[in-house]
Amino acid sequence: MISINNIQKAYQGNVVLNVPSLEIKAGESIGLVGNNGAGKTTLFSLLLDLIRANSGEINSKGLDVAKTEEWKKFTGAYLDEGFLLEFLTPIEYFEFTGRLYGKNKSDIHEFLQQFTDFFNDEILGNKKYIRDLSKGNQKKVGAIGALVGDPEIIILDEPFANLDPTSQIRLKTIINNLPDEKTVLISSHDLSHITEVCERIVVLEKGELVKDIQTSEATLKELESYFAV
Amino acid sequence: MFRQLFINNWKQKKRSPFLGNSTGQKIVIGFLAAYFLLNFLVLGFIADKVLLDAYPDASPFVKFNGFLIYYFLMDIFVRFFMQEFPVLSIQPYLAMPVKKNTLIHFILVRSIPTFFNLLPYLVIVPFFLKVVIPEIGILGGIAWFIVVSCLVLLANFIGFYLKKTFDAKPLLAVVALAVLGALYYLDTAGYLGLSEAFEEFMNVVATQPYLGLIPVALLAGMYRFIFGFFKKRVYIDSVSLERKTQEAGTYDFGFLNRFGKMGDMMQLEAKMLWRSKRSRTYAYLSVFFLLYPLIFLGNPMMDSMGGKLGMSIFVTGIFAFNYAQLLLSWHSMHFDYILTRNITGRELIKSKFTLLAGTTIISFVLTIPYVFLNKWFFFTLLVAMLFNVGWSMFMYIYISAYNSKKIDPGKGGAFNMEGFGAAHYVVMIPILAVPILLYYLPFGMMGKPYLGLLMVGLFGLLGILFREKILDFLVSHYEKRKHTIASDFRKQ
Repeated sequence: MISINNIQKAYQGNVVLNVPSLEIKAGESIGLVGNNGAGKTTLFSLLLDLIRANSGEINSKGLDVAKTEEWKKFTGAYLDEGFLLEFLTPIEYFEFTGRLYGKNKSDIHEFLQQFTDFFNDEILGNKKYIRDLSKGNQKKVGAIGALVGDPEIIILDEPFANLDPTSQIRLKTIINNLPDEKTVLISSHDLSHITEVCERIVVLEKGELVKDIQTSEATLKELESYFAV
Repeated sequence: MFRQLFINNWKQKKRSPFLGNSTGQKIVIGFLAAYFLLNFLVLGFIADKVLLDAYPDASPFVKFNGFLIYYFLMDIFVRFFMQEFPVLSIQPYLAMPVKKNTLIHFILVRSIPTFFNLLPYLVIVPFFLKVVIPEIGILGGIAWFIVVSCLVLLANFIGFYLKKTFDAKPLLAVVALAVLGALYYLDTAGYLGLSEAFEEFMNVVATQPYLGLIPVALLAGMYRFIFGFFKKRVYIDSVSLERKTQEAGTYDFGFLNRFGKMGDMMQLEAKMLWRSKRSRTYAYLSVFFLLYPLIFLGNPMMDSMGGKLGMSIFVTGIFAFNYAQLLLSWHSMHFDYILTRNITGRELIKSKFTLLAGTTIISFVLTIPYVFLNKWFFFTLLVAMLFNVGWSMFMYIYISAYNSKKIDPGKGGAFNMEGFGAAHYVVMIPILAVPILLYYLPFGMMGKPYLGLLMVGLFGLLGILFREKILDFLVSHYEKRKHTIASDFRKQ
């Protein structure tokens, strides 16, 4: 589904990401873990052609993301508030995003039904612009916004941060219940959450890929001892 | 504490990511500032001569005092629209062990050292030395100086107060401004003796300097009043400090829906335009500017075809001029959305062009009534509209790819220079060059204005006919620049 080849990103000669090879199969859910500055967001930004790599290439479904815009049709992402249209209400945001993928109003309303619990009556029907929502509610809007349009690849940067405990648990359920064929990439600082929702964990450290493990019973312990320095 | 607050405030200004370090901008602002400073300074030195020319039988000292009251009223206006008052900057200190009173005093005192308070002194000080002291002596002179300073500061605080109430109760501030305007009008028209009364008061102050304390008391009262006003509002949920949470508007520009994805994009942009303070101000300003030609009624400039054409280009293009200067910066808060969602660069650029062209055409339609002033206005407006759509809009789109300064569209509009750079002034060169090269030089000067008009119109029409080709070029230009723009927008 996604193949990353010899990708390198440097700022003023300072290498922040250096991944010789990473293959992600369709339907896999990948958890990206690493301390601040490990290169998680950089990797996501490269996947979304938000920044240019110094060398190497990323192919999404065989398409070089830096050369075409076709990948946009099957990719949904939420990294930060820059992915929100701050002057819209949440419902307008979902509807507009839906229209970009050829979904009409009723498609979207039907789609949003399943997230009623997650939204907890604070998102839909609330006459507030997204810019006036709390950080946690903005994150909810963004995370669900990434699922609009039935994308095959879903990328979420720290989706659990800023969410209240109940919402974190509900979000985990949402991610776990995604259809099997979806390819999901999630980064998080919360080791127990990420091991619960991802089948494969990739650890980055200072821009290098240091661990790539299939999640098992022992994974959480392994990660905890790795990060307990 | 006070000193530290000032230092922090200075650092905040200097390190603001919005301000940028554009040399071009600094040069232009510096130039404008120097221009005004020089004008005022010259005025200060020749004010007595000017007044003597205009009113040969009155003393310049007395007339100057009469004018002070007009200046005072105008000054409140100018400050209301242009001066920026520091308020938000105290928010981080609210939870620190600093007295709220100290913070309020800081906001108020901080509002004093600005360009707007320096400007009047460039007139006052020369006039004070050259005319006032010789006329009424040192003691009376000092009293005069104190009274005038009180007026300047009063205008400062009244402007501040009106601006803050405008955030909370727009209607109240509008009423207050209307009252000020009415006072000004009634007095100049001779119905009200404000300026005479003030002249009289100043004459009395000249002989009995202690009366100069009356305005000082007024100023102190105003300070106390505005202090009390803020005292009630130094809470982050109060309108003075935090941006008001708006109830979402329901109007959704649905008529644009039927034009497919392009319509969706324009609908989105229309919503942003209408729901953000700054762009909304631009829209209001543009409506105001549509009336601009009325100011020049009877001016000989309006009799010439060139004057009409220039005016027409201005009125049909003013909204685009204001809005398109920040074409991509309007999206700086959500540019990543634009980049990652199912929107191609071409769709983005084309929707921009369509929107700009649409507003130009709307301006054209709205200004057609000018034909009642002169039938030629129809043709100059038509030519101007074609020219703006077929040339200026492309220029704006091209140049906007070089403007990657982040802006906050929620921040106030008039005189907000955030996001403006050298490019904004450079774009005027190719735009103005066309009418000059095609109209003014060959035809306007040779007395064949109709031919010149035709040329400019045809030029615009060519641009419109070949718009797809031109858009192709603009899209590839944008694609080359988008990563740079995105990374600049992402800088906090």
